[in-house]
Amino acid sequence: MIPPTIGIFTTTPVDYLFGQLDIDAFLTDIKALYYPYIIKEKHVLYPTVEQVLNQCDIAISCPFTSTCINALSSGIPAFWYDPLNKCSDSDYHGTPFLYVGKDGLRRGLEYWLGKSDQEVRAIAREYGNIIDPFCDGEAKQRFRELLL
Amino acid sequence: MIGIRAYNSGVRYGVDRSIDFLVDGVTIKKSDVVIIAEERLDQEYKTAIAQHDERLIELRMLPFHYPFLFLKNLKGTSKVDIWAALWNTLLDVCPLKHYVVYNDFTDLSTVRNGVLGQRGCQTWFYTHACNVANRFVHTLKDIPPKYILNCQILHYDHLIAWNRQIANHYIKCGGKFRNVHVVGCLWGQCNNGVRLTRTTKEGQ
Repeated sequence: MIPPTIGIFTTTPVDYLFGQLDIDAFLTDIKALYYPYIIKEKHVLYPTVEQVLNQCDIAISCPFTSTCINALSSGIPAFWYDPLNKCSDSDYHGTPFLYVGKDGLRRGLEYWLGKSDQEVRAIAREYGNIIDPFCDGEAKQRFRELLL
Repeated sequence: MIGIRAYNSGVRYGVDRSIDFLVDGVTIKKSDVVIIAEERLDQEYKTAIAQHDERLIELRMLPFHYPFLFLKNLKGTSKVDIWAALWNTLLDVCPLKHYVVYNDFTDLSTVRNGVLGQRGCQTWFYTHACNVANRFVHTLKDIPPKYILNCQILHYDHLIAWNRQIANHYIKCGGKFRNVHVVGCLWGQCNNGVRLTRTTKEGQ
C-alpha cells in the first residue's frame, strides 16, 4: 500500500475567525497522521499551489482558503479542516468539504481518498452554488469570451 | 482594447497566476491588452511587464506625456478632479472597451468607474479568491464594518465570481453590479498539468 501524499495549505491567521492557535492545531493533527505531506504556506512563493496540487493525492486546507475550491475544480480530492470547531455555522457545515476535529479529519480522508478525477468534479458540481458549478477548467475562457 | 489594473502588492507574473491570465494568444492577444499602473510601480514589476512584451501605461506620467490633453480634461484642483482628468486623458490616448480589476477597494475607484462609464468603457471586477467571501459566510453582523464599507465602494458593470455564494456575498455587503457572471474557479485546471495517477481505492 502506498500512503497518500497530503498537500497542506495554510492561511493568513485572523484571530476572531481562524487564528494562529487554529493553524497550529491544523498542522499538528495532519502531521500526526504520519502520511507524507507537502506544505504550501500562505504568502511563501515556493512551492507554488500548482506544484503542490500536482504532487498530492489530497489537498487539506485551512478554512476557507481558495486552494480547496482550486483543487476540487481540478478534480483533486480536497476539504477544509477545522480542528477547533470555529466554522460550524458556515454554509459548508454538513457538506463533504468541511471536517471538524480529529475524527472529522479521518472521516474526510476516508471519504475523499481514492475518488477519481471525475468523481471529485461530480461531487463539487453537485454543490455548485458553494464550490464551482462547472469544474471544467474553463472559467478563464468563459471570462475571456464575455470580454469579446 | 482591454485595460488591466496593476498595483505593486498585487499578482504579477507567476506560475499559478499572472496579471495577464486573460491573454491566451487566441481569444485575447497581447495586442488587445494594456496594463494600467494606477500607482507608481516598482522597477522590477515594470521590467517584468516589458519582458512579457506587454504595453504599460502609467497614469501618473500622462500629464508629462500629454500636458495639453491633461489640462483640457482638468476641471478643478481637487483629488477627484485630477483623478478624473487622468482617466479622461488615458481614454483620449487609449480608448478602452473594458477595464478589468480585482481587489480594488480604493475610494477613487468610483470616480474612475464613473469616467469609464461615461466614455463607454465597461468595468469588470473579478473575484480572484474565495476566502474573503467564505470567511464571512455567516451573517452580516459577523462581517467587520470596514469590510462592508469596502464592498459598498464597488460599483461596476460586471462582477465575475467563482460561484453564486461568492457573488451573493459581494452583493449582500453592498457592492453594486449591473451584471453578475458565475464562471467557476478561475484557477481550476483541465487535466493538463494535473496529476492523474492518484492513489486508487484498490491501492489503499
